[in-house]
Amino acid sequence: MTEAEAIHLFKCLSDKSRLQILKSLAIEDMYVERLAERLSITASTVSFHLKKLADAGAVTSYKSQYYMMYSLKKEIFETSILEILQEKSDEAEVQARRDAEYYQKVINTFFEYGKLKTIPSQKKKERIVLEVIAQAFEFDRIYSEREVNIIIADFHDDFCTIRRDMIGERLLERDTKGYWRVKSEC
Amino acid sequence: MIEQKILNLNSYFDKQISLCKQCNKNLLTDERMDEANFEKVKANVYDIFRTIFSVAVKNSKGDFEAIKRFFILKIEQIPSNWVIAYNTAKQHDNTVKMQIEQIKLDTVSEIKQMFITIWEEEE
Repeated sequence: MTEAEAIHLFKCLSDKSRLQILKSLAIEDMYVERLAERLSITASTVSFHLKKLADAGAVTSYKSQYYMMYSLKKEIFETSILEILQEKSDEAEVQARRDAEYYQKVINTFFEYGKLKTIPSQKKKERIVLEVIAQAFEFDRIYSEREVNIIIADFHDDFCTIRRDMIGERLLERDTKGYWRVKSEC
Repeated sequence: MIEQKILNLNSYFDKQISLCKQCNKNLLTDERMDEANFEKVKANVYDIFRTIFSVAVKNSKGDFEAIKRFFILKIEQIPSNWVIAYNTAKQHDNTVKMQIEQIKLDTVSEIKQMFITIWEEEE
């Protein structure tokens, strides 16, 4: 169940008449007139509520002789609230897409034909730029300082600043043996 | 004589509107939001025709037949759009919209019946 579907269902359930209809259908399948009689509301009002319940995926209908019978969609109600809460959020996807768009926008702004035009002054943007440069380094390989400088110089002449900032951003690590690319935690 | 009929009709409208408001309140307390909204729709229809009746009385200067003509004309003219809206909703299987339009049409039909009863009744 998506987040939008869950909201739709919860909204639909927050009505006493609809809850009473569902309680009746939990006993057995029923047709509109019978529900109207049981709940003491008009048949048209019952139809109205059934339509809303059907749209929310809570009930389903089938034809039986002359009657349209309504039944509870049991699988919906067998879903626990926790399962709904553990569903991946639609909003999280939207946010991830926005982040990816922003990331690409920064790359498009600061890189031209694979070269870094200028080092961004904003920390957040510089981080993105440094992440792109870090991709030129292989994992599990030790680089000498000269090798690091040559790789960075392919992107920008100021390799000293970039090398230092990559260490600062923990994209590269170093010790006496040399430099290596840090694996991302996520 | 005509004053009494005007009084009766106005008190009918007032009574129906206050009844709807009371029902709306009760239904809201009972967590029946949509049905509470239906009562609001009904109250609006009563209010529309109470206003139309006032205009009919004001413009017709006590002419019994003129009031009736004006009111009947309006009570047939205004709901024609609601009939169209109902039929359109039916074509699209929009039960929610159909229900609202049906409530408006039922209410207007009740108002028309009550108007005729009060207006035509013998003194």
